[in-house]
Amino acid sequence: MLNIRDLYASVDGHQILKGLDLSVKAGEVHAIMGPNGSGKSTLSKIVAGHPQYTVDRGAIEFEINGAMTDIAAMEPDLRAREGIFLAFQYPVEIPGVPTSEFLRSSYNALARHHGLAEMDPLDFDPFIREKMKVLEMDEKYIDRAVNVDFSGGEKKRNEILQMAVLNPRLAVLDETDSGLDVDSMKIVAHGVNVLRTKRNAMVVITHYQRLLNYIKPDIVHVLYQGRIIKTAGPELALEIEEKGYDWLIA
Amino acid sequence: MTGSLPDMGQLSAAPHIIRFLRHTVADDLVRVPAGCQHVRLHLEEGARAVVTGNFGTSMVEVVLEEGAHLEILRMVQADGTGPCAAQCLARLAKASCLRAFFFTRGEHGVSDDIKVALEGEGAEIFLNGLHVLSGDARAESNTYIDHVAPATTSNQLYKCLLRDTAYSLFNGRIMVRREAQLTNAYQLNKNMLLSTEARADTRPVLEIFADDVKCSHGATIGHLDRDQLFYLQTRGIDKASAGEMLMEGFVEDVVGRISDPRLKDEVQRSLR
Repeated sequence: MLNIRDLYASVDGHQILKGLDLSVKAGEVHAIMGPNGSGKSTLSKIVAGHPQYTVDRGAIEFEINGAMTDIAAMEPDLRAREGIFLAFQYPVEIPGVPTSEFLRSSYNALARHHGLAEMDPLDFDPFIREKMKVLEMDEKYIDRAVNVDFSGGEKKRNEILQMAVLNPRLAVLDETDSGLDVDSMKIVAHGVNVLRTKRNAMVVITHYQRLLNYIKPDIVHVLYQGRIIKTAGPELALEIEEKGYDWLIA
Repeated sequence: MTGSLPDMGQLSAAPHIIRFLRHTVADDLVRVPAGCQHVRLHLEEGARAVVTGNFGTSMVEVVLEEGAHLEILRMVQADGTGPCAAQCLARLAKASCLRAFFFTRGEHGVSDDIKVALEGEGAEIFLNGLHVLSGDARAESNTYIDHVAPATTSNQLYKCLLRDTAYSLFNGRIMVRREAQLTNAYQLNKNMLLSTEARADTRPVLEIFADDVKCSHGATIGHLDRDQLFYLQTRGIDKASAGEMLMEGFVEDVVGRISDPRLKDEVQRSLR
């Protein structure tokens, strides 16, 4: 579904990714771990299409209508409509735009693209409230401006709520566990696990192993200095928890 | 800008007086008659009212007695009437509250002079400005909040959405007198430039003579926020629609502060 080959990418003239390879199939959950500054967040932004990040070499392919398609030059909104979702490490506040309207516009943008029926506010309201229940989100947030006056934990839940609304084929979760206490992390992980199916895939980016106790990965990668330096099964995460990263880097 | 701003000295001297009696609540929206050049709104003790008008060039005097509560909206739309200049003088007695909205939209210039004296303990002013300007419109907002009595509150939010070669100048002056301990004053001026030729200047002035006060101010001048655009785009919303959403949100942030639902509805419809 996602195939990244020999990817070199930079931001503001700094080379961050240096020959990264990653292949993700439907139904798989991949964890990407690595010390700070290894390029984890850059990878997530490059996959989502942040305009500030540039692909210098290599390819990012994503399966669209059954065919692997190079998406490196594709606008972020089109990538989203084709099924790529990024849960932000730092969700952005948007004053004056109510969460409910934002979510509905987003849902309808995808529905239009796939030739499905759009929802009016009356249809959308019960739809969204049901999804909020899974994430144990207080209904008051639906009337607030996007991420404005949300606690750190609520912002992260809001990301997973958006994921539930858009039902992506590929979800990249960028340090979703950062700033979450254990209870909130369990709820968020539960939300993610509910959305896990055989037809979608997830890339969970994390610095720590603890999130992986709740979202069980099939494959664990270690990213260091812009490249994947080790790939193994879930036991690798436990080993990193125990021994840190030094033994891998040396 | 077309034509020059009218001289305030030329305005007619006789004010149109609207008086709200003690402890009365005006249920209906009170509309200032079109073309009215000088209006005095006097709310007696404990009176409550919501007043609106399309008055552009005019003098508005507001007198709030103890515990009175007034919400007022001035909306000027692009209608070919030319530039306008409003002068507003408000005096607030103990525990009274004024929520004021000065909105302008279009290609014509505006120059507002707003002076508010918080003369009684616990008086509150919520002063909000919104200028959505295009062409070569020039908006000048001069606000002067005078904290005379203790424990008074002022909260100002001025926003400008500027297209083409439009220009905005915000002069926000806050005075906290020596007797006005426990003052809480806040001022924020945000300008969104939608073209490379639009410009904005902001000049906050704080004069504080009391020592136990909370005063803060902030100002921003910038284009559409790149991170906000990206965030919306990653949710499938195309760039043009995302920009529209951000502009609507920018405006709604001020409009949302209107507490009277009828007034808010009216503004939202007229801004569409």
